[in-house]
Amino acid sequence: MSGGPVTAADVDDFVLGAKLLSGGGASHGTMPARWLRHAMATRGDVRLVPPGSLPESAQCLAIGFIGSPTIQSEKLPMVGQFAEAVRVAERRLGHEVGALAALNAAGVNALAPLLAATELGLPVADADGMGRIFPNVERSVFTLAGLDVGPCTLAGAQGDVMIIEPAGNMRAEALIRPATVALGGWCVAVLYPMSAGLLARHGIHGSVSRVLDVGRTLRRAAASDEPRGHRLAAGLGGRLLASGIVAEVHRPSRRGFPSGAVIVTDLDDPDRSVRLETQNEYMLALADGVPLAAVPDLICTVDHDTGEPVDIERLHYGHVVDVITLPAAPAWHTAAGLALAGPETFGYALPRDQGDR
Amino acid sequence: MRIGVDVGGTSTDAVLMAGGEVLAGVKAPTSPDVTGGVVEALALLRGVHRFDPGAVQAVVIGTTHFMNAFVEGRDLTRTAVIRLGLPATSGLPPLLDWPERLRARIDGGTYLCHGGHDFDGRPIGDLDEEEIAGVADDIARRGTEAAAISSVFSFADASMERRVAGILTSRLPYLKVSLSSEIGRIGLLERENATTINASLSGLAGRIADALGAALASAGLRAPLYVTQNNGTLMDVEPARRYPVATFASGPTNSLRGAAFLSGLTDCVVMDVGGTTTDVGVLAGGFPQEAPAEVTVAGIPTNFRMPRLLCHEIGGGTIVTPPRRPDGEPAVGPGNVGDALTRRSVVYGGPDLTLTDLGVAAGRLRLGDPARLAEMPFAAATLDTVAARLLGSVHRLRVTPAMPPVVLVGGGAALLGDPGTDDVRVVRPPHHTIANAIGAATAEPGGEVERIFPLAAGGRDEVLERARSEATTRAVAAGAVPASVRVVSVEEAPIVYLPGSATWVRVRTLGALARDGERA
Amino acid sequence: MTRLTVRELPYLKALTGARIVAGQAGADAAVREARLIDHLDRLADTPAGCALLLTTDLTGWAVEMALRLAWERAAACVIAHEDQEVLDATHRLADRLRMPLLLAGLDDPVSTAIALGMAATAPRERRAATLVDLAERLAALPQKPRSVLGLLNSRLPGTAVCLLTADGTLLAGRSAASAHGADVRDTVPARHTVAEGQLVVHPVIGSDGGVEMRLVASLSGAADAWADTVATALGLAAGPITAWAAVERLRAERDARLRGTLLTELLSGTDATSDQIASQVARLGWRLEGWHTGIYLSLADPTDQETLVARTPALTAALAAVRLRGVVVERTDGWSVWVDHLEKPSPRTEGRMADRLRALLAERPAGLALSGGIGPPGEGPSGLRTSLASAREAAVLATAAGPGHLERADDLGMRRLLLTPFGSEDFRSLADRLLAPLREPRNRPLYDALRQYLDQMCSASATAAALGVHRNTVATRVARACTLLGVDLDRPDERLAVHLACHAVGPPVS
Repeated sequence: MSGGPVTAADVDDFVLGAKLLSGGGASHGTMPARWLRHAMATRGDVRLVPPGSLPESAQCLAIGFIGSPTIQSEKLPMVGQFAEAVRVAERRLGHEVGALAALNAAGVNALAPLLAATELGLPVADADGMGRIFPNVERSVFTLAGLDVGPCTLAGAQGDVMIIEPAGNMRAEALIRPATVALGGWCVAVLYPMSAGLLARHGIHGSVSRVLDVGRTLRRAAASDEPRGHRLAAGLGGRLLASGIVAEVHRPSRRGFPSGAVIVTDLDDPDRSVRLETQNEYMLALADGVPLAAVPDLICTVDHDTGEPVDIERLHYGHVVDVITLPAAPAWHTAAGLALAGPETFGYALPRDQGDR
Repeated sequence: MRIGVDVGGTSTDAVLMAGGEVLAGVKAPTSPDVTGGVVEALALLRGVHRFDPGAVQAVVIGTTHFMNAFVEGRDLTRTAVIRLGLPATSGLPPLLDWPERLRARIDGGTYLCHGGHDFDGRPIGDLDEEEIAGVADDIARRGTEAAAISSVFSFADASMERRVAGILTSRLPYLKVSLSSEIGRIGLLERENATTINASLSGLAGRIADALGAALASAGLRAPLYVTQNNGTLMDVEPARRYPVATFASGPTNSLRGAAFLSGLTDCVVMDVGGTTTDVGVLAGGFPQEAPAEVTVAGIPTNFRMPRLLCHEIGGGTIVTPPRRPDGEPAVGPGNVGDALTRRSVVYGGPDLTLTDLGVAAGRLRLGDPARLAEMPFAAATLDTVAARLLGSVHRLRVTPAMPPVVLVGGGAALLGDPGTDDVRVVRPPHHTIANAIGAATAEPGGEVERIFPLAAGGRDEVLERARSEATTRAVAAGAVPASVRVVSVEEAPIVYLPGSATWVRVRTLGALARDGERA
Repeated sequence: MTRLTVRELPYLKALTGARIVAGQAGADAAVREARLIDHLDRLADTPAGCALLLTTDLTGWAVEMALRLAWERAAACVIAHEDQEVLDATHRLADRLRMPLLLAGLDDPVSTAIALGMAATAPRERRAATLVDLAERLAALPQKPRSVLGLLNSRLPGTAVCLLTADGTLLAGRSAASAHGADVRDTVPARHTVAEGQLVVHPVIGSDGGVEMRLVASLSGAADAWADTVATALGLAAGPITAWAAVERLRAERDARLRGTLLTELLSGTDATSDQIASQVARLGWRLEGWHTGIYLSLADPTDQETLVARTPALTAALAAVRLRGVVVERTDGWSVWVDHLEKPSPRTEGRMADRLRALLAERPAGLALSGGIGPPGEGPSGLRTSLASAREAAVLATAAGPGHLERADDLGMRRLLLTPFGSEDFRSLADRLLAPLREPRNRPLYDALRQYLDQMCSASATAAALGVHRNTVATRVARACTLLGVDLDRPDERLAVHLACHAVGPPVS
């Protein structure tokens, strides 16, 4: 659905879609949504354009947030924080930026390029580097394509800006995290500078508009009386793994493997249950010991009655949920993709012949 | 002896308790000016059980006075909203998302100033005293009488807010100042909104507190007055004059706590069957489970926490359409007679058939004039169906695999009959109709403190200790005997997406009232 | 040849403390080998009948996958580290797949896997090794029930063994195994299925050919092969137990002989006891000084010395239970018993002791039909002698009355005559003494009437005719005579005694 403007009226749907696409990750309160609505109300709509429609040589940057959303809700953003980051990046790169892309169009990060666009008046390219939430910046299709993550420009909420030039994408996290703490616990991050041509070739197309589509689908499903489950999953382009009641919730224990587990018992067949392994997001879904879905594919839970996405922290016994899986971008299902972001990289050593169901 | 009063939407309930026993309980209709209902309830109480007013050691009121006053928007005080956080926070100005009506009433100027802290305690920047002086001048020029001061991470470090308050009041001694650090809870916008609401009630709060005091005096009571807070603890009415927002959401909490007291259960589901709605909440470990979402007051996001409630639009006043055919089923709702139950229900001589009427017909309630009721063979079955539907929703509130027992309270609890099954145990304790007033009467003074501490600094124990001692101080400020204060919960959670760096902690304390030899 | 089954795995030393927590329905599957699994990939080529040991990093979801893959590969079972938190869902999966899930302390999984593999491939050798080990250790032990049972209970994992008497009382070993003891009546080695699993029983035969004791082992589960091993182990243990019992018996008999001989010497001796006797007495812990009450208990059916000796402990216990604690010595047809007192017991104390003993005899103490006599208290060694002798005499009369009777020597009265040979000097002098009250001249008519009455077979009319007096006169005089003598003619033994006494002192004066 690229090409149309994203307006203040779309903010609620956009935020809803971003929440679903966070795959169970923590929700971030209402601040980012209010920020975006305020920004659009004061500075206008955002243009969303297909990457292919940009001139090949136009320069793009991927934009996201790094750090704690909880802290972000206290140390609120500075006006012009995105503009500051982009301008410093332009100075370093020696050229102006023509369009903004999303680092990852999921969770609160999905709002970042839109917010930046309101400050800079630039279009947002309808593409992103991950297609879902990953905890590290190097886990992107750009890395798979051999593109550099740096120079990374980080702007804190009180005007500090840092440029980090890691020696290789795998070094980025180690440098960015302490910088984020120094900047006050969260920052705007501008990364992966590339031409629009490279973005069009390697980026995941349609990611940003997908957030809006998903949000609209969820809203319609919630408003209607139709049964959720399969139809919702199909409408989202995914598969329903189960509609059931949360029967067990195990938070990760401090010692040992930091994976929690959630058991969902099928509504219609109490003998059947689905086991969801969790870290910050859902990582793995099993039924009867057979893996049904695993990272990099997205797994999410939607409240069966209200149609709201439910994050892992808010799940509780007796919650009736639809467990839905959405396929990851095809680039993640290559050998290189799995080596960067497959289940094994998160600590789930699935047997080889089943790791890619 | 203690008296507990709960002012609800429909009725004002009062209870007299001594040594943990309920001596008497009454219900009076809530009056439009609220205070009138309180006076009537106290008088009714005296009529039902003679007691010596001098022997009453405390009166605890759970009231919606303050919230109503704000929502109605009359007599609010213009407030200067001062935020300390520059250069950060400029992206979202104060009073964002306030409804225009209320914003127009209270906006006494918004001021973004330098200051605030980071999560690890470092200042974002120093206070600029000249800047603050400029703010003071502007406040004086505009004639604003109240100020709300909110600083980034002030619940961890209130020093800047206090300094600014000091500067302002030394120049403007008449200025009524509310500090966000006294209102607590992470989330700057929501805390700032709550602080602003609080400041805007500066004028009213004193008047409401006086009216409540007068109500007590007219009943011959000279006992100290307390009000219940959002989290179920109580505080002396004096601090309530300065921080009335602390009382905003105490109603549902009182009902849950009263249910806990009456049933003796610390882990249960509580179903409060009222006139217009049935509210279902959860007690875990003796505390009401909090709703994850924040409370909005008149459309304004605040950081008040309410118990997690499932609200069903079913109550004693729900209108019932009798079946057209003799063997048919009646339609329950939609529609509710609201607080006109005692005028409009058939059993009171009114025209509307309500669930209360069915309750009298089925022999579950004894009120009004049963002779007015026609033959209703479907009465009990209809009520049982309603009960089964309500019970069916209970499983969604579980926090453990096992089904908890269900405690029925509220004026309409008897309507549900005896709906327990093999899987679900249902309890309807005596005095269930005044559970909320009992919750108020059995409230204890407490304190609550939130902190974030960075793990790298290795200061976990020190931070916990400071948090504990400050929560203790707050409990004492609310009226607790210092030696009685105990820590009742310590919650910890890592700050996500900043792994290994910081943890959030919340410490709660409870104590016993001074001059109160008995523990309710 | 029976294979090692999953059910037996917790009994193996390598898996001590292991438990089957789910999937019990599949626990009878045979275990052919064991494999260590440190990555789920390794499950792709495991053969059927494998016991899969998961390394500690395979937790939670990986256990569920392992269960599933194990089921697909027809494995025997999945063994995970016992520190695992196993969710209900995992339990249910194992149950549904009938794939046993065991939790064990896998601190050294490699060694465990090897040991398990060896046990699986050679079950007979493993059992033989267990038994050889047991036999070697038995040979090195002292032959006492506690040592033997301790060894059995420690070397037979998953099994509780105990030693019971013939009637089911616990002698040694784990009381848990004795729950069914009272019901076990086997006279040859046997097995029983009970609620908790199986009982393996091995009777220990005494010298008389009857069952003296039983070794009972309690096993949970139903694995036959393990029960075989246990049965053989019990058989091995029966040898030392039997030897111990025989030695104990001989010792008891020897001690009894010693006691008996010593007592005989004491009773026949004089006041002065020789040094030798004194030292033997001291060694046995007998106290000759002070006061004693002698008791004699005689068996209704005399039996052999061996049985007598065997019964002594039970009889001693029974006497102690009624506060008659003293020395118990076997005699030819019963036991001599004496109770020591610090000072002369009062008549009331004597009476109460007699009452307690009487009540005890009526109840057949230790299953014995006994009658008894109790003598008057005596001081020092001579007093002991006298008391025991009186008790013996009194016991004679009690025996005549039947088992369960007690006679007090002090109460014998006229009946003492019945113990003395008629016609002897003693009899005459005793009779004179007993009849003395009637020998005074003014009581002559009473004596005559009594004598005639007895001769006339207690016919008052015949007596009246023989004496030439009225019938009533006879009745009055006979009654008066009885009162003076303190006898009751309705009691046959007293009547007989009086009659004999009369004849001993001379014919009536006609």
